[in-house]
Amino acid sequence: MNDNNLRTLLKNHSKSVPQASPYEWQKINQRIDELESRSSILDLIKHPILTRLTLAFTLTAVILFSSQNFGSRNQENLEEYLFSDSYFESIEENQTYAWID
Amino acid sequence: MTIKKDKFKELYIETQSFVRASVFWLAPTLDRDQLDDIVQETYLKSWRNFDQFKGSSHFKTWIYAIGKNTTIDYLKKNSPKNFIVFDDTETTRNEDLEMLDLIDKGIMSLEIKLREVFILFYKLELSIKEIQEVLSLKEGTVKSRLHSARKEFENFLNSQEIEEGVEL
Repeated sequence: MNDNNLRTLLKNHSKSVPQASPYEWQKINQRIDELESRSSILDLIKHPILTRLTLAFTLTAVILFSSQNFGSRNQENLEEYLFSDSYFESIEENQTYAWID
Repeated sequence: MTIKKDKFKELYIETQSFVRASVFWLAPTLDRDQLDDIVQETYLKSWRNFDQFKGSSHFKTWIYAIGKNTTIDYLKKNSPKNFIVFDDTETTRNEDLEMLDLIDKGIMSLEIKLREVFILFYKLELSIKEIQEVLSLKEGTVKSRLHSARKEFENFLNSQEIEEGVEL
């Protein structure tokens, strides 16, 4: 059997390939658009300037929050100290020393 | 984006029947919906990597490789039974063969390496040089596989003729 005979035999006897739908390109096109809109959102997230801005904002927020906390803790400590016995004792001690001088 | 898509559409129109036929002949037991899914997935994958595509290699060669891998992945995920079609150590399960007529059975009886070359040459009518490009093989390898495939196919038909008295 030569090549041409074999090709003819295969054409005539084997089953045919199911045809593509006429809307196949539209479907592919639609999926490409979906893919592109998803990837553009991802690109925005990955954008270097935006990433730096987000990082700077986060760091500022963390610093502000912790300094505020630190400040209020100091305030509490101070108030606690001012109304404690040791504060009055130290005043008394100072007055004693002043009197000796 | 529009220019890129226009170019891609042009290539789709040029290659879609080839891609469809090659996927179909790699796995003829797939139904029409499955075939549609694989073809669409093949073009989407090629779109995702379209920027990497260099005009130096022919689009047909490139998309054939994507189509073949997509078909194998699809069968692995969706139908482990059909995956045997791609197993080099075995031919095809009998229940799959029952679905096909004699010529298709002959094609399916070839191991994948031989079947691929056989289909590209006889069904899709690619030249030896094109097959070389599509499969990244040397000319000698393509010719020797084609020779073995033809011999095995003819042997299969002869054995069926004797067994069943079929006239071709």
